[in-house]
Amino acid sequence: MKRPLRYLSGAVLALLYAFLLMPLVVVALASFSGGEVLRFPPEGFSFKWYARFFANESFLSALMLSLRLALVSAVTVSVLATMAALFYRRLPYRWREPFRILVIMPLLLPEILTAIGLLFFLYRVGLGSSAFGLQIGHIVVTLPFAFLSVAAALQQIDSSLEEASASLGAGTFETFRRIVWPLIRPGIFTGALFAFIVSFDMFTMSFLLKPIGGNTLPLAVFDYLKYDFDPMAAAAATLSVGFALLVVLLVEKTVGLRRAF
Amino acid sequence: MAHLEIAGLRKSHGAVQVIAGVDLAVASGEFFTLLGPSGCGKTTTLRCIAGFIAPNDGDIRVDGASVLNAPPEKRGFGVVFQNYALFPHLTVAENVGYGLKTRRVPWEEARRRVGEALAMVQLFGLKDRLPRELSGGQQQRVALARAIVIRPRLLLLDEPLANLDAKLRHELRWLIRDVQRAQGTTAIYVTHDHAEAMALSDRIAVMRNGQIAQVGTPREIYQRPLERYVASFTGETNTLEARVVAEAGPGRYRVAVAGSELEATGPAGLTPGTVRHLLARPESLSLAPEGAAGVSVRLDAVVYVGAALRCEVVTACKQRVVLQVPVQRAYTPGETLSLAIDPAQAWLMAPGEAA
Ligand SMILES: Nc1ncnc2c1ncn2[C@@H]1O[C@H](COP(=O)(O)OP(=O)(O)OP(=O)(O)O)[C@@H](O)[C@H]1O
Ligand SMILES: [Mg+2]
Repeated sequence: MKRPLRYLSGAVLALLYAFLLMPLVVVALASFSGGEVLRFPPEGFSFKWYARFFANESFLSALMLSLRLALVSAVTVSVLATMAALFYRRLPYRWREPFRILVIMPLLLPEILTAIGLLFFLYRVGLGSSAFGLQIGHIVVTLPFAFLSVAAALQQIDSSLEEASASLGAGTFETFRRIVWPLIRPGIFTGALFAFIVSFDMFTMSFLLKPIGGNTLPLAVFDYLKYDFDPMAAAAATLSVGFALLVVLLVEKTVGLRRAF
Repeated sequence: MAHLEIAGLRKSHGAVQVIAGVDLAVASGEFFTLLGPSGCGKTTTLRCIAGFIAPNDGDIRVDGASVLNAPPEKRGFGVVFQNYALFPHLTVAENVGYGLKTRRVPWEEARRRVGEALAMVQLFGLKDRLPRELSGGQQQRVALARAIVIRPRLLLLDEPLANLDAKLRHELRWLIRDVQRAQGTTAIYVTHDHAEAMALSDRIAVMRNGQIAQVGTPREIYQRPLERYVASFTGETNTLEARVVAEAGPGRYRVAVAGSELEATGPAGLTPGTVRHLLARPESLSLAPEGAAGVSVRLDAVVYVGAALRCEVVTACKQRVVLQVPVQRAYTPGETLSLAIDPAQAWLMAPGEAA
């Protein structure tokens, strides 16, 4: 590419990112406000809204529920997605696409539709308004992300690698342990990461399926903003972004995102 | 080490018969090649032997015992793939040692054997590299070492040199042969390169549409092909229509070709009047001045190719013949000359399609 063109595209990209990230920055800055109202620019600087956030029972329990949901979703979905992706690869050619569509259906449908469907189903089987039901909802919605990630990693593995392994005396399980698993591990971690973040930020599904007396962090922020308009909402939002970033960094440190993709 | 018999092997993919009845017997320690054009079923045959796919019918026996019920990991065959199939996350030494690890070979012994195998394929000082840090030729050496380190009963190679450039192909060709000889392993080699097959093999099976067209030593395949298909697949050929005139001795005949009579070799029992194809390899032909014994031809084109002159001549019956002659004499296109065929190398084949 010619030099001026490169600078120009760089500038456009910078503008685009600025536009996307500006609201985030504004909210983050507003959360450190010393005043009583949520506004920008913030008045003064303090950590008081964070202190109040961590002193707030309902926010804290919402954070805990969100973290638990996201963690359980990430772990469960990793296992399910790996099994589904392995199965998918073994399917006869003409069954593959239907199976893939089936697994990623929750991603293709509007979340609200999936949520309503699940709502009816969960009430019918006696799991309505329970934390377990909500967990199922989160798993359903996050599974496609993990599946796509693991399936992409599996696709990179030439079947001759498994054949070579077999010819050298490794059975199916040993081949999986020594060859397939090390090669798809980054894909599984990336999938788990996606699942964690999607679950942590999930609103619609949580809104419909939330257990009695339980709240997730996005719901708690939403509830709070209905009555109060102070920087504690900003602090909660900033914390939730912070957690997502933390998880990304953790994955980056352990497997490396560049290898994962 | 082990001998192999294949009997009545069949394999279909859907409605397509990919292997339509293959029978083979490979002796212990033999270097055996499956040669044939793309899509004739070489790879499929090899994969049936390796156990990666199950045939629909037939049997595969190694040392007299059927292996069909054994999964690939229980067969103990070494496989070398066209795309190397090295494990990308393992180092060279770990790749080569893989088959020893699955066999629970003690660490000390495994290390020694990996070293020996790497030395055998002439790969030194690279054992801690990852496959992606190696050249194609080096990768294929690793793949070969990995397959032989387990002292396989059979060594199966599917076009192992096809992804390499010409120079490396030559180099590795001899390496494969040396390693196979040194180990005394029975090797089944798949290729569509006839020069490679000739140079490496004890015996060659030429395949056509999922069947064996002919099995024989490279010399037999080249000089005594049963049909035109085999001849055309094993090097440059001229075929001339020939009619048997009389038997001149056991397996020797006088035949009429393009209005002249000459002597040729053929299978026993051809009766006068039979029409056959006369195989004349370019090196079995020579040109003499007009009037000498042989078939009268007109020189159509002549090209200097370095070691020889490559001439195209046309017979009275408009049959085109290509041959190479020494560069000493000058030829002018349009000249009428006499084409002589070495009777010992002129061979009568059954008529049939070329490849
Ligand atoms: N899984 C499959 N499904 C359908 N047809 C197949 C399959 N595998 C192979 N074939 C067909 O079987 C035939 C033989 O294939 P094979 O790979 O054995 O050929 P080959 O002799 O090894 O050719 P090449 O020299 O190109 O490698 C081909 O016509 C191919 O299209
Ligand atoms: Mg092939």
